[in-house]
Formats: sequence, C-alpha cells, structure tokens
Amino acid sequence: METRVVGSYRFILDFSQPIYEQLVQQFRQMLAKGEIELGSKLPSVRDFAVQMKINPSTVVRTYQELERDGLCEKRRGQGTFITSSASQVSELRKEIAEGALGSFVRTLQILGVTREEAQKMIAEVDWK
Amino acid sequence: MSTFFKLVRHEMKFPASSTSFIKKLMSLITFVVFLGLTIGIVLGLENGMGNFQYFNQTFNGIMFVAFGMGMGFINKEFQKNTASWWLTLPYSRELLYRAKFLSIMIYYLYVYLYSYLIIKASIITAITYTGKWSQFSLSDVFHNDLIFFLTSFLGAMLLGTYAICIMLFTKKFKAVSIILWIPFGLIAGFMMPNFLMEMVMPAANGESISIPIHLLIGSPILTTLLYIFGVHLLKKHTNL
Amino acid sequence: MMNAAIRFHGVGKSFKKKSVLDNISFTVPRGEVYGILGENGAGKSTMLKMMANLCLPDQGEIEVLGQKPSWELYQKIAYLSDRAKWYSDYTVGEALQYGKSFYPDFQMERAEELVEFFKLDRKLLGKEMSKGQEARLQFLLCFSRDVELMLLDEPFSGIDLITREKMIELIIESISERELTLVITTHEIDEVEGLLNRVSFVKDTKIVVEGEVEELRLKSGSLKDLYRGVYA
Repeated sequence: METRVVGSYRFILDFSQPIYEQLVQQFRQMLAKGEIELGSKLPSVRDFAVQMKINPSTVVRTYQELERDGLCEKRRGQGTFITSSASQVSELRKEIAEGALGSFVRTLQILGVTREEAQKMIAEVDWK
Repeated sequence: MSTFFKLVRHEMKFPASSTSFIKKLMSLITFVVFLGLTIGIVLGLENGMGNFQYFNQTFNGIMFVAFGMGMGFINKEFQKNTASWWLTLPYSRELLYRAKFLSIMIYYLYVYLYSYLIIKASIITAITYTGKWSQFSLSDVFHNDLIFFLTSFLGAMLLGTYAICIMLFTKKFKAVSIILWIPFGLIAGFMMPNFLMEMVMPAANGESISIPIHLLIGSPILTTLLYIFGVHLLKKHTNL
Repeated sequence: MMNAAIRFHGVGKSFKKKSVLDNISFTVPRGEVYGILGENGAGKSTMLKMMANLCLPDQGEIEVLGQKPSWELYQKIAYLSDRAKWYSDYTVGEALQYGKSFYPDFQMERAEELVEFFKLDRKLLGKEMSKGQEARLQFLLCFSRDVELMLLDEPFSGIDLITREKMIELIIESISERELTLVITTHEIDEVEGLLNRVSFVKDTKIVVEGEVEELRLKSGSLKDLYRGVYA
C-alpha cells in the first residue's frame, strides 16, 4: 500500500489490485463524501500520471470510467471536469450506501439474524 | 557539411582538457627521439658507415602503426562503452566505418609527417655536426622520400582498405575474406623483412641483402593472425 | 498486424553453445510500455540488442516496426545500452550539438528544456560526470529525439534516487504527449510497477509469464509478488 498525492487528492495504491479500479473507487468515494467540489477541474492526464507515477493510459481509463458513470465530463480543449449536477452525486451516494447495505444484509442473513433483530441492532448502534 | 564529414570531425575530436598534457608528452618524445637519432647518425657517420638511408626505410614501419591505430580507434569505442552510441547512429555501418577509416588516415598522416620532420631534422643536424656536407648533398638527404612516402602511406591506405573490407564482409563472404588476407600477408611479407633487415643490419651499405626465409614466412603469418584477431575483436563486440 | 511495434517469433540464441534464449515469441503493441523482467544474465539484454540490430538471432524471426532489423531502423528507434557511456571528451553543450548533427529528428528546443529539467551544467565534461549525471545526459539525448520506439536496457540500475525519479517523470511525460512505444528491461520492480502496460518474465532462456499488467494483478497480485513467485 502506498499513499500518493495529486493536488488536493490523496490516493492509496495497492499494486496487487488493478490500479484503474482503485482510482475509480476512490474517486467515487471522495465524490460521495463531498470531498470534491462540484464542477471542479480534474488534473490533466499528464499531470495526474506524472504525480502518481503511473502510466497515462491508466489515468485515461479511469477518467473514461468516471465519464461513463456521468461523474465527470470532458470539455473540448479545456480538460476533464467533475460533474456539476448535485443530483448525480446524491445518486452516487445512494448507490454506494445501497451497496454497503446490501452486503451488510447478506452477512446478517448468513448469520441467521432476522430483520427485527437487525433493526434493533441498528437502533442501538452508536452512530457517532 | 555532409554527414560524412561531420562524422569524421566527430572521430577526430581530441580531449580539450588533456591537450596540454598531450603536447607536453609529444615535445618530450620529440626531444628524446631527436636526440637519439642525431647521436645515432653522428656515431654512424663518425665510424664511417656513410649510409643513412636506412633511417628513411624505417618509415615503412609506420605503416603498421596505421593498422594498430585502426584497431585501437575501434576498440576504444568498446573499451569506453561508447560503441552503442556509435553503432546505432542512423547511418549505414559502411558510412560509419568509412568515416572512422578516414579519420584514422588523417591522424596517421599527422604522425607520419611529424616523424618525417624529426628524422630529416636529425639527419641534417648530424651532417652539420660532423661537418660532412662535403660528402652529402641536400638531395642525398631527401633521396627517395617520395617513393617512401608513396609506399608507406599508400601501403597503409591499402592495409586499411583491406581491414574495412574484411570488417564489412566477413559475415557474408567468409571465404572471400580469407582470400583477401593472403595478398595482404604477401605484401607484408615483402615489406616486413626489408624493414627488419634495415633495422637489424644498418651497415648493409645498400648492397643486395638475402632475406632470411623465416622472416619471409613468419611475417605474413603474423600479420594474418593480427588481422584475424582484429576482425574477431570487432565481431565479438557487435555480433554482426 | 500494423499494431505491433515488435514481434519475436520462435527466437533462439546461444553463445558458445550455451543457450541464452530458447524459442521466444511475444508481441509488443504500439504505444505501450513493455517491461522485460528477469534476473541478471537471463537474456534480457540480448533480446533488446536483437531489437536494436546489434545481435542476430540463431533461430526465429524478429520484426521491428513492421520490418526486419537493419540500420535504417535507427532513424525511428533510440537504444540505450545498460553499459553505455557518454564520450568522455564531450561537454553537455557539445552533446546537444552531437545530437543535432547526427539525429535528423533531434529537437533542440526540447533538449534545451531537458538540460534545465535535469539540472545539468552545459560545460560539464563527460569524464567529469557522476553516474547519475551521465545517466541524465544519455536519457536527455534519447528523449530529445522524435522516435517511435525506445529501447532502454536497465536504465535505473545503480542510479541515485533523485535521478531515477526524474527519469520516470520524463518517461511518463513523453508517453503522455505522443505515441511512443517503450521497451524496458529491469530487475528493479518498484520503479516500474505503475508504469508498465505489459510485461514478460524471463527465466532460464524462456518467457515464463507474459501478459497485461492489470490483468496479471487480478490473477496473481502485484508484479513484485509475481517476481517472487517466479524467481524464489
């Protein structure tokens, strides 16, 4: 695991996993957590690659993936920008939360925990 | 300026910072050689040997210096690990070799003229010192120089050309290159005994000399071996 | 296939009856950074020399940029040998002139920028350079050229950290800006872990693992893990 910083972004790289997947994942989380300002400009592929010390094609692939999910957009001659749509981000937030909830529910089901028990557990959890 | 001459200029580049050292060394060598030659000739003239033409003959020996320099120039690229820069220049190998060859010849001509001047100056000094200008004229001093120049310098060109041919074609024309070595060996066979005899028997007085058979056979073999070694060296390095 | 920068097909080579490479086949796609990893003496350098037309295979065929290796290729490729040294009598400034004189694709402006980038003194002589400075100059000469293919033999071995980082930066910048195929041999994985698109591991005259790096990560972990698996 290695921490690498690009401008205001901080990434943790694990070279035993595909790098572009990690970058996409960490971008999505930062975005959902509201750590990235809406409509802000992403670093150029070149700068990103140089500072991360990774192949530029990995960065291109990451940006393409984010673009496909509507999380960023490429503007001709200007670069790549984070989406300025708040609804897009809240959808992303919901999507990530639902994903986490899904795996949480599956784990509890395997353990034989009932819905009522689970709800009780959640109510008792220290949410801070 | 054409690429070829740029390449030659590159080959001729001498270390800027060590020029002064080379100059010092050259002047020291000049002084020693000049002194030695002069004393030698003076003693020879005093003892009544009379004939100093053998000094001129030693020029033939310089011819072999050209061969050595050629291999040296190429080997330097490998010794100093610059060969990959040299061999991957975007020009044909032939052009690269030709440029190196020309630069070797220019350098050789420089060495040649330099030794020529020293030898001639020694002879003139010796005659003046012993006061024997009555026995020699200036034309005696420069007697046959042109022929020596042609045999030794052109001879060296010839040797160099053989070397280049062999280097260029060894891979494809192995058999041909062996045939190339034979005439070269023969030329060397005739030149070398002369050269050696003159060195060994300076008092021969210009009379006909019988050439020992072992020199006649030995020298072409030796030279051929030198060549094979040189080519082997190049091939080993480039694997081409 | 036009997309292949380099193609080896059944290539074999022996030196003095000792086999160095045996039946090697692989393809380097254009525009990618290809790593040839392996321990010292595994035959990596020989593979690169073959691409650079400095060594001929005993068996098999090699294609570089769609043609058989020949000196004409030197117009399109830059090769940096692992043992290469710069001419001891040339200063940095004269080295730029050398580049301009002999490489038709030499970009003088770029070279001037790189002198600044690498913090080289224009008056520094080849023989006065440290190993790092010499590596910087040789890198500068390669990367000032507008070539399609670059072959770097153990570029990071024995080089100081700051120079290595600058070299990596220059490589990444160059491949961001134009289509350039790079083949790098190395046994130092840390430097190239994030850089390579494809990789092959050479062991005992053969390629034992070959593939796209991101896919290999999914299958068998990091290149370092793979390296350990192959050579330990």
